Amino acid sequence: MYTSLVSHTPKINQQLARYGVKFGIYKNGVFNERLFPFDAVPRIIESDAWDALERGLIQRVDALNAYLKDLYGDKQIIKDGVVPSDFAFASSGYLPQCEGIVPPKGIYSHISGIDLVEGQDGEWYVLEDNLRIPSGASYPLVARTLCRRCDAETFRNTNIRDNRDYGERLKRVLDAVNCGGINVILTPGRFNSAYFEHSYLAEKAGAVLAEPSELFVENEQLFFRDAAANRRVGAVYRRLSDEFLDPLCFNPESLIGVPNLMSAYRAENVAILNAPGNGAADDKGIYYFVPKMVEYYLGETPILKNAPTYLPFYPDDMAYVMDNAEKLVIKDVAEAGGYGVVFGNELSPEALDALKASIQREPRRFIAQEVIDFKCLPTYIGGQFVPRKADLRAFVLSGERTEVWPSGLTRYAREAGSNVVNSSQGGGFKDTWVLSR
Amino acid sequence: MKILSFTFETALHFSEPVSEHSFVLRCLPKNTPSQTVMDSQAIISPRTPVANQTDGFGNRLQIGRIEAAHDEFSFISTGLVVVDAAHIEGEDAQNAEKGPLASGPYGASAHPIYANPSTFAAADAAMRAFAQEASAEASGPWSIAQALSHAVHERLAYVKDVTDVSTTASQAFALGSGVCQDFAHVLIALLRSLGIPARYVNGLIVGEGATHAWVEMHDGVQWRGIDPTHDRPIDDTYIVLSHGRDFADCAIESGVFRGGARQDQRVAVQVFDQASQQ
Repeated sequence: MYTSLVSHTPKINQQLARYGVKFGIYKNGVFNERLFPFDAVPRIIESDAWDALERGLIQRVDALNAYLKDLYGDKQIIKDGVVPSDFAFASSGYLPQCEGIVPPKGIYSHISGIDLVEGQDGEWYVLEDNLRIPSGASYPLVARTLCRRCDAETFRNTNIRDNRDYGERLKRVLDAVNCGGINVILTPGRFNSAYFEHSYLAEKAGAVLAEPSELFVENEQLFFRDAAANRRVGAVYRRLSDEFLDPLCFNPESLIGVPNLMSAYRAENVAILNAPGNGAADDKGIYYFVPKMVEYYLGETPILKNAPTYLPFYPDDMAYVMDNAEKLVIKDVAEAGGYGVVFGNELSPEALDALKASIQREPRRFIAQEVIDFKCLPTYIGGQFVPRKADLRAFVLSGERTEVWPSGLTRYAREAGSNVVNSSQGGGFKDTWVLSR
Repeated sequence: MKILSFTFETALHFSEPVSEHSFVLRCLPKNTPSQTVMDSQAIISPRTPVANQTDGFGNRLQIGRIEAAHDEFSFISTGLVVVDAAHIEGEDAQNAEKGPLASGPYGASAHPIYANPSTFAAADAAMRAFAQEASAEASGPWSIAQALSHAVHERLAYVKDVTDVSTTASQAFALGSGVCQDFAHVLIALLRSLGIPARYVNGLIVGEGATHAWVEMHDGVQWRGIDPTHDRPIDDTYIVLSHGRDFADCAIESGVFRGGARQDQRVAVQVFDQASQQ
């Protein structure tokens, strides 16, 4: 059903390049930007399968939001011993500056990016929750538009759920938490590798795209400096990380933050999307506890599975990891974006021993997971269809209610056999078709 | 018990006018189990609307912004505080400590963040060994804290202008000198390396013309203050302004402004014991 579409691949990639669809990548300490190659062979998810996935994603994000509210509030889940305080507060994403602040409507993670893979057994497994500023929604959004333009017939003849309403969905979320004033998307600036996404989403959501110097805080209110007048901001979807957000609250060296933004937030005069401090819940170490959160807060059985995970912090798990390190994937909880992820079977015996020693020295710093043998998707590379491992980042939006965007970012590994699909590691992306029946 | 009155004045002079100056001050004392604030106010110049908020650590914040160009920024805080360092326990306490980080999730224990290393108060290998050795004879958290305070006092020389606000505990420890901020960071890092929760305190004391910094350690039941710069437990001559994991959480004055000016700071502090005034 996509055969005719594939012939348009070069043209679509040219147009993506013209739009500036690219991302930044660190390699050997050097920052580079590169284009994000698009493969026109889509991931296709059947309607029923999607409905089940959707229920699981809503459940998971609702539980994560409940956890954040509890962690920065009553801490009941810690008092009840479900999440050990060693994990809850030692996470680098936990920000004591956010203690006691309740964000508008009590929502912490408004735009969540949940990374999943489909196992050979047909089950979906969550690999990672991204609750800070998950990026990438614009890629499938713009790719879908270009694909439809190139090959309208394919889209007429296939029952694909429309995904072009992401901007409206984002606007609904911003409106739901807005404290009075305009909606703003805050970008670090046009030199940021995700600037295309920031400007594209601002246009689609009808929000004002602002750079930090265009915003200021006075009398516990956030304002946008407009040519005509200063306009009050009620919701800010910020695309810069917590540490840079407010130099008078977090990193004082930050030159790109908005001074005293946190004072407007504390006074409940502005919603910050996503809430600062969310890193406390998407830490690789906290991941282990997410199914327990679903049971604890919602009283439900988790619909989505985690990859089987071991915490060397627990003696039993430590013993297992020491005995089986060569078949596990070991992750450093302090690293993000595919960095600090090591497959035991790819290490020399010496390197494996060194890693084991690090784990014993700092058990809290690592998690270990069984390697999920996940499905390949057909990918058109070098004039032929070849299998490539692929994951899915699903976008879950929480405003008046929690909804899943019927699409997502499917990323594939560049090399045959590679399990690393993270865009930072050189893969490409695909459209994700959710069938309507 | 003492009734202390205080006047704390800070003036910043900029070599060139600055504008769009956003600031956060923690220049007013707060209620603690051993400290009751009877009266306090801050006057900020140039005059500007000031928002009073509380941060996650329970510190009082004075927040504002001065749009217009100015080459002088000053604040004067004054007030009256009842201090009773001897009555910090249980029902004797004047005020239970407030704020979300006041205690840990398990009742009277310290919040776990104070047991973890922080940016400015993390022990290196040399400090961990030093802490072990200096506390070898001591038993119990308070006795360990006193032994470590004494050891820090012996180890570090009080020397101005060899360290600055960006100096970490391990840098000051290696250097062997510093000011009260460095003494406090070193003691905090040493205590934490032995598993004793500790936090940084900014404040004012009788008989010193500048602000002071010291340490609170948690003995399992309550926070107790100790001053490594003077090597003594805190008494009724200490007024608490703010606390945090280290200096970075609770600076008395911080600001961001437009303009590349150099700045000079003048600070004047006077704390009087009301009884001795009579």
